[in-house]
Amino acid sequence: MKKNARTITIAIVLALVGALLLGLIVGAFLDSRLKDRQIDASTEKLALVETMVADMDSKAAQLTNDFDQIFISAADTMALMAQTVPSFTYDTAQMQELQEIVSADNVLAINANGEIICSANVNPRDYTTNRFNQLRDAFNDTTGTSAAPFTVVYDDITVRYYGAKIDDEHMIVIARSAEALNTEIASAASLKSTLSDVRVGQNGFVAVVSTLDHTVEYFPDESIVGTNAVTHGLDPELLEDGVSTYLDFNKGSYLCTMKQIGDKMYICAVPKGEIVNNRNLIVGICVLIFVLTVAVMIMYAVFVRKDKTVEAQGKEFRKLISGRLIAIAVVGAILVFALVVYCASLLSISRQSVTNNHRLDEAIAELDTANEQRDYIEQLYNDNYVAKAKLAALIIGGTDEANLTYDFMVTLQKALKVNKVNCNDMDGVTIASSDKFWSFTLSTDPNAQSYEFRKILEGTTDQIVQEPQKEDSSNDVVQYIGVAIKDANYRTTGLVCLEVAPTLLPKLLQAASTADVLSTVQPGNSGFAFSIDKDSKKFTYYPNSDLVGRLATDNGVAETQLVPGFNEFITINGEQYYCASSEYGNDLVYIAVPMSKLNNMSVPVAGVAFGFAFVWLLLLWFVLSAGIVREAEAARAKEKKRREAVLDAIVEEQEKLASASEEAAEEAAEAEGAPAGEAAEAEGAAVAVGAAAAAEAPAPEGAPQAEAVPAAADQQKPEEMISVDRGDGRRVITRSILNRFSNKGVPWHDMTAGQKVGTVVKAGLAVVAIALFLLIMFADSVFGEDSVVRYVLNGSWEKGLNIFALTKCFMSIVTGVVIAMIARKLIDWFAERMGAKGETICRLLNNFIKFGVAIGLCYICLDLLGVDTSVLLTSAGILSLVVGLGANGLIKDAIAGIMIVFEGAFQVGDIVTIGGFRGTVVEIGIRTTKVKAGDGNVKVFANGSIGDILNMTQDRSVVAVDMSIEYGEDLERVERILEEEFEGIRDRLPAITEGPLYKGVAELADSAVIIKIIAKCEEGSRAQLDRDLRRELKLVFDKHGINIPFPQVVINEP
Amino acid sequence: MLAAAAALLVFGAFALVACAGSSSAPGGNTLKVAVREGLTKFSTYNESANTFYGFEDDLAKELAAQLGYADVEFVGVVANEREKALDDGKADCLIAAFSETPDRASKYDLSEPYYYDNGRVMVATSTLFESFADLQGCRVGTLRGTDVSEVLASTLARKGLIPSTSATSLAQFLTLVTFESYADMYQAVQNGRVDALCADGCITLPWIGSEMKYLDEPYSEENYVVATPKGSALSEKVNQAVQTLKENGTVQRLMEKWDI
Repeated sequence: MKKNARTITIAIVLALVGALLLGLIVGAFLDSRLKDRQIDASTEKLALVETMVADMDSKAAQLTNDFDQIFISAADTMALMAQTVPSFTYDTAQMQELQEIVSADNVLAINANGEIICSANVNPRDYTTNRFNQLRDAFNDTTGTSAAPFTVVYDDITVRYYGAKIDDEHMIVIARSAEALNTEIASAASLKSTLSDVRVGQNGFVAVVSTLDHTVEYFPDESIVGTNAVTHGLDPELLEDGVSTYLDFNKGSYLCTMKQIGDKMYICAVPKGEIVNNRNLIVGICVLIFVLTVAVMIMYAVFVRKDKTVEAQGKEFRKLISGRLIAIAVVGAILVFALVVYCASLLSISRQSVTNNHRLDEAIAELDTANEQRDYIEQLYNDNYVAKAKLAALIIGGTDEANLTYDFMVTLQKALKVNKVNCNDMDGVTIASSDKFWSFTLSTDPNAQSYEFRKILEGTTDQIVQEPQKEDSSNDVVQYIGVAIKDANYRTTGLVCLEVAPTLLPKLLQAASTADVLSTVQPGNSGFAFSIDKDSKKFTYYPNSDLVGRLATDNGVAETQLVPGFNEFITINGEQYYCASSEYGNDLVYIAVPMSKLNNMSVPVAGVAFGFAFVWLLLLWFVLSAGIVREAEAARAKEKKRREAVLDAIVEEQEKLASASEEAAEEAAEAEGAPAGEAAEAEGAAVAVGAAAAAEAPAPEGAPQAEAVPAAADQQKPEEMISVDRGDGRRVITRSILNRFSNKGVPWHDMTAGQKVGTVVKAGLAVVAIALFLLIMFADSVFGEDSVVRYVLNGSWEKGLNIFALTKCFMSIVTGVVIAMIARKLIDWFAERMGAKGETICRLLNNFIKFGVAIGLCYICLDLLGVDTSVLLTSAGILSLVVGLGANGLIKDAIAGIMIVFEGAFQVGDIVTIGGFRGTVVEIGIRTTKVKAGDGNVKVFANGSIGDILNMTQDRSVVAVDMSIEYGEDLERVERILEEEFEGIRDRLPAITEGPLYKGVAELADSAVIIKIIAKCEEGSRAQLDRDLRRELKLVFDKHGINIPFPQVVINEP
Repeated sequence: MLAAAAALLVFGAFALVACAGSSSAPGGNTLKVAVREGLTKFSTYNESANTFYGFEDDLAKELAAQLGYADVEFVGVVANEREKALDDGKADCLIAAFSETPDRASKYDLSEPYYYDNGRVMVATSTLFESFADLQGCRVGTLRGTDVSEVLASTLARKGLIPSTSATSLAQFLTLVTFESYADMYQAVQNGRVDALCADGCITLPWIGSEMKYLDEPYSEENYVVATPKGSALSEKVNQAVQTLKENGTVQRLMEKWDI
């Protein structure tokens, strides 16, 4: 016993070590691959970020510059106004008027010392401090009169200052809140705006930390921005340019790649969980499959040792066991490979899909923000142009017409930084202009562009801003702004019209265009965004600018893919991408991730896992099969020895007895003399022989005892397991037909090793199926929103031959099978407790469920795989015709079966004769009915072929025996004898349930009087009882001398 | 028998070493060092991790190891508490951006400098100031506890901007305003409440940009030293240790690590 267990123990130890090693090796391999891949991606991303940041800095500078230009020009204009307009006064009212026009925080005039001459605001700041030296520098500046703008950050506000010198004693200062500019920069040219759309992997991001003081400059969680990174757990010793490592920060652990740009460290961070979870799952699957395979192998080995039938197979034995074990090992290794590939692919694609949709939502939100920005910028510019026009109106209004010379107008135009300044009188005639050639009257034609400005002269409105339009004469885009000139009593006295070239505007508008926004969208895994116009189906934006303006359908995009909410694979110019789509305005916006980046992990890992698993399983196989064979042979040898020992013992006994009887015979011979001696010897020999015979008798009983017992046992109940010839000469143990059709299982001990393993595996699968079923049913509450399972169940993937459809098919099958299993178990339980009719219906239901679920699942799966199942069902195509013709018989049988049950012609358990075949009905199914004859044979009838039915179930089975008696016999005597003997017969034949009964004279035949005797019994014993009863009656007749006549032939010799 | 003798020998040696170890550490096996709490890169305190990070903290650990201590205990101080920490005995030594001045040298034992910095004057760019001369009549901010006036006065005197290095002379040229924290001081320059501030280069460097700039010259050399109480047994050893750390490149390595 010890030796036997040793193989198994070694095998188990080997298995555990193997599982551990497998886990470690695959884990380490995955770790390094995932890590390397992530680091490569991060490095790539950081290089990209570097260019984006450089752009960002120049963008911020430009935004500041554009903003500044507005107010520098305003200050200059105000200075001009102060210089030229006589009515300009240095008082609060004048300052306030100016303040209102340019929407400044304050407009004031100061002298060279910074002392305030007048101010729009009541409590102006102290401009004498050194902080404002740069403002007053305008007094000293010989090259220009504008002070360079600068910003002062107060506790509650940030203000930007502009100044323009009026004369040596006076300077105009505009104080303007920089909030708008800062907001602008924050939303268009800040780290946040640049990096918030940059993603790495699935949920990775780029964070920025100052190398000077470790302030967090950018982090997706905004509450941390501005705080010291060290207080959130970052170890500053680990910040190093070009290094990749794991960093802990803000209660999370990330795989980080770092790059120093200027005095900031850009950290590309991927949550550790993302990498580890992927790895853990795949390692888990590998190890699980491996352990299961090993468990099956060891189980088989254990059962094999106890399997009696195997011993009988000798040499075949070794091949058989080895063969089966290696089959299991190979299947296991292949399963490892397949499942790793499957799981890895499923995981990565589904995760990517969820990520894609997130990125898409973010991109759409960005587009919305950009739109708002556009509106804001337009408004800002229009306001500014109006302000300029108003300033011009003030200046022109305050100047005598005589002084509105061409030179004056040109000076004004330069100060305003516009294309042209024009002044019209109340009739619409130009009275002054900065343009030599611009001298016309406002049109009276309502369709002309200049007509609109008449409204100002009519007093309907005080300002008009027209949309920028393309000039007819040139191709420039220009814009006209008109403002009323008011006198001191606020009456309109004329019109000032400015022509501006809104060159700045399109630049800034472009920054908020779809193309620009999408180009900043950087989903991880080398993904990008692109857009297609819904109507023209052309690319409106694509990272590769060659494709912009081309037809999408020419480049690989299918018509069916041009829809919002699309989640599938698109091939563009030969490369396959996994995409998600959404609509925005007139465009379809897509996020695309190249497939090559998604899938390059699964196959190599699977290969490594497969290789190792296979080698290890081979090792295990070798240990197991060698061990088992050795044990079996040892056992056989032991058995052989035991038998020999027993035989030896018997032979010894024999010899002892023989010598004992010889002695006895000798003594007898001595006593009685010679003649008697021979007889005595013979007797002695006979005794000896008898003794030997007696001694031998127990021996054969002892040795093949094991075989005798099952033989005896088998005779008592119907065969459950039969040894059959498989056709190629090999014998296999299988279940008998009865056993299969009945719902009983096979007793554990009688199963072969293979069947035992099969049972255990089936039970295990059933448990797993139920667990999966529960998980699927309760997926919504068990799994998080982003989990793979929920995505597959509810997600918006496309139907077709893809991994999601296959997974959902699998899930549907599991659900269907489990439901069917539960239903059938319930029905079986029910059937046992109901009567025969109940059992009939239950069995029919079972059969029905089997078919129904199978067909239903087929339908569901085909539908998931993209086959148009409605067409299958309803079309009059060739397929339906073929199926119809072929199903003819099937349907006929099905209907017949249903009819049989509902009519109640017969039910399960009835004794029927159909087409001459007599037996008990075992099952009425959809297509077939199964009838079991008395000798155990089962005939399967197709329901449609069941024509006439003879139902003999009205009562118990009846055995009828016709006995013949002579015509000369006394009938009454025979009857009396029979009456007396019947009880005895009944006692001797326990199969009789009622009778025997005498039924009278059946026939007056040629040679005999035939009387009928019947007995009732169970159907199963009817055949035997028929013979037994006949025998008994014959014995009775013999006993009482009743003759049974037979035809006699008399031969006369002539 | 032999085994017992060997064990005894080992035990004896161990005991000797232990004794030797503790004898070289006068206060026990832990060196108590006073360091700054909020000086970026030099010494900052991470509340959630309850640890000190910085160049000076690392230096303290290296120093302790060099002196034969097993462990370091940090005591956080602000600028004006530094000397008090030594006086009260809360710390064995002080490594807290403590610059060498004659006054301090007389009160405490100062080691060789481990870091050479400059004191600089920072102004808002819009003041258009260039040099010390522009500071005339200005308000200049300093941090309470840092001793700027003496050094500033001597520099200005050297430049011939003030007649003598006395405090009154300095006060006639400019007004010193003390602040409780660097942040307050910086904000004051931003607002214009003061025209300039004086601080060590290491502190002001993060602020320098388009809005803020330095005057052309530094006003002082700031040599940071390790301070120990006058006459402490540690002093000579500390000095030796600092020298060793400078010679063997440890200090340089730490400077590069913290990018200072």
